[in-house]
Amino acid sequence: MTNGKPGRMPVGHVIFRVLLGSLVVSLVVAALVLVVLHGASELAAGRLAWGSVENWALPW
Amino acid sequence: MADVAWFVLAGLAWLVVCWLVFVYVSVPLTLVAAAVGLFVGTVLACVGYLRVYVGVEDDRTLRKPASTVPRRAAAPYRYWDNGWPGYLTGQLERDIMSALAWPRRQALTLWVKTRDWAAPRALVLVVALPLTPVPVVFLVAVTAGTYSAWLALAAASEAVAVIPRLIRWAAVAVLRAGDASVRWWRGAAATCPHCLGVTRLPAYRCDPRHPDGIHRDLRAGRLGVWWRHCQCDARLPSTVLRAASAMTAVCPACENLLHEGAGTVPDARIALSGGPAVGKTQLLLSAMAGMTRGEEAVWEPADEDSAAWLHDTGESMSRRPRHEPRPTAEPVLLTLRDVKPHQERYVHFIDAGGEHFSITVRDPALRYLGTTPRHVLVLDPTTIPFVRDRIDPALLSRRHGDHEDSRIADSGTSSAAAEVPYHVLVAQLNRCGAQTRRCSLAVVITKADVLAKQALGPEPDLTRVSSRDLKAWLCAKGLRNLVDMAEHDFGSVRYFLVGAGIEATDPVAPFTWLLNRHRRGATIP
Repeated sequence: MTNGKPGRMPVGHVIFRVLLGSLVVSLVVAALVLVVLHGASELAAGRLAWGSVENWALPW
Repeated sequence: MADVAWFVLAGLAWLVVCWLVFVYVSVPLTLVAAAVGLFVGTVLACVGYLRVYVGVEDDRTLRKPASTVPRRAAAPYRYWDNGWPGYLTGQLERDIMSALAWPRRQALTLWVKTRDWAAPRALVLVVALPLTPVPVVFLVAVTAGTYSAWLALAAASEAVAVIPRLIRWAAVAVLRAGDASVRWWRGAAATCPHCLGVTRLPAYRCDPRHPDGIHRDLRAGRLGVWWRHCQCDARLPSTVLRAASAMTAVCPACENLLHEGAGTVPDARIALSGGPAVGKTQLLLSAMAGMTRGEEAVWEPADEDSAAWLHDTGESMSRRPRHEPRPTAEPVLLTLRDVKPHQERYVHFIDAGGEHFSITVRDPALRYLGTTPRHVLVLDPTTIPFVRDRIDPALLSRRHGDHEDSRIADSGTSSAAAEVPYHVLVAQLNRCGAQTRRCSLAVVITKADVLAKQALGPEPDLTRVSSRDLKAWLCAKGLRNLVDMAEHDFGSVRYFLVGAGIEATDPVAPFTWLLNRHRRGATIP
């Protein structure tokens, strides 16, 4: 319960919420970047590996 | 027989088809659905957090100023102050919990809609049985993704808040300790001139924009470290020392104005005890006059009431016949302050009518006795039978005829009656929980002029009477019991002799001695 109408939210609340919102967004972006990089690196590694073996002469 | 074979064959074919669809369609799609579901759940959780941080959920999440929320029992005031709680004191956790509400609703809605779609379509489900795991896994993944992402973001938020919280706690501890230490060192307290309440933590009015707002606990803590944000948008200091210079101090009990700087400047109280018409008022008047008048006076009346009392009582007692001030139900508080502009300090004299000391029952008017270690016990020597019997009755009747005070007729004339005020004083101190061994008692024997005229004093020359002489004199006159009790009960006892017309008896001396005995202003026994 409050006595009368509460005024504006303190600036401390705003600062912390902006910081934590930024944290959430940056974590999501970081996760996406990691997923993309991870996928790309796997793809590159696969291609590299395939490139090295595709011309191998089989013993038979 | 052929029909049965065909039926079995069709069933086997159906199982094969189901198997093939499950292996080559459902399993890959389920994997994709799980990945998509986890992603959707993560997005939902993120949106949930962002909704809270943007303020969409404020109506039910934001903890606003609340002066009706009770505090723990040890707090100086029962309820929280009317200010915004800090973000790190619970609001972060409320935001985190609130961030789960919206994504959980969305996930639940997906389950409900899927159930509502599937309920009337049992045949479709049977036909598409191999594909059933895809939506089920998707829904499970959405739910798991929501909770997992919410949990991960909650952990991240709490981890980010750890260091600011540690800094905050340290700052609160430092500010509180600094604020309290300085005030303790100064011996600061606030004595309310209206209700006589004594507090080390004055309340402050949130003026000018919010004149009715009273802040009762302006210390660093849950509601702010360096500043406090009031409900009325005012920014308030979070230490008593800073608040005293910027705000108006009021009594936390009765909300009346306190003296300037109350709670931050030295504040001493001296309580007077004594039976009816023993000369307490005369002693107080003489002492206050001695302290405030003259070129070298270091004290002055701190408020209009004290100045008016000093003026009016002085006038009424100098008239003939003398008019003793009519005793009041509540004790009188008179306050002096140091005249030096940058060395503020207060001394309060509390005087209750002698009637309060004539009965040994619990008397609420004497509650103030427990708020100070400085006590003055005023004794009228003419109430001691051994002395009274040797005084010329004509002198006594003439002297009493000088007063228009009916209380004199009722005053006791036995040694036991002379001890009653002392017993009342000690009983009240014990009732208040005060440790009398930490208190000092100035026993003031009044009416030295009567003793001088009748040659009944301890010495023929009253200017040479010491405390030890007075103590021996009291013992010789039948008050040994009182002297022994006083020496046993109180940490320090000293005897003084005062009287009208006896220049060598200084009425200020008992008060000066008490102030020197307890230099720390706010000491409460």
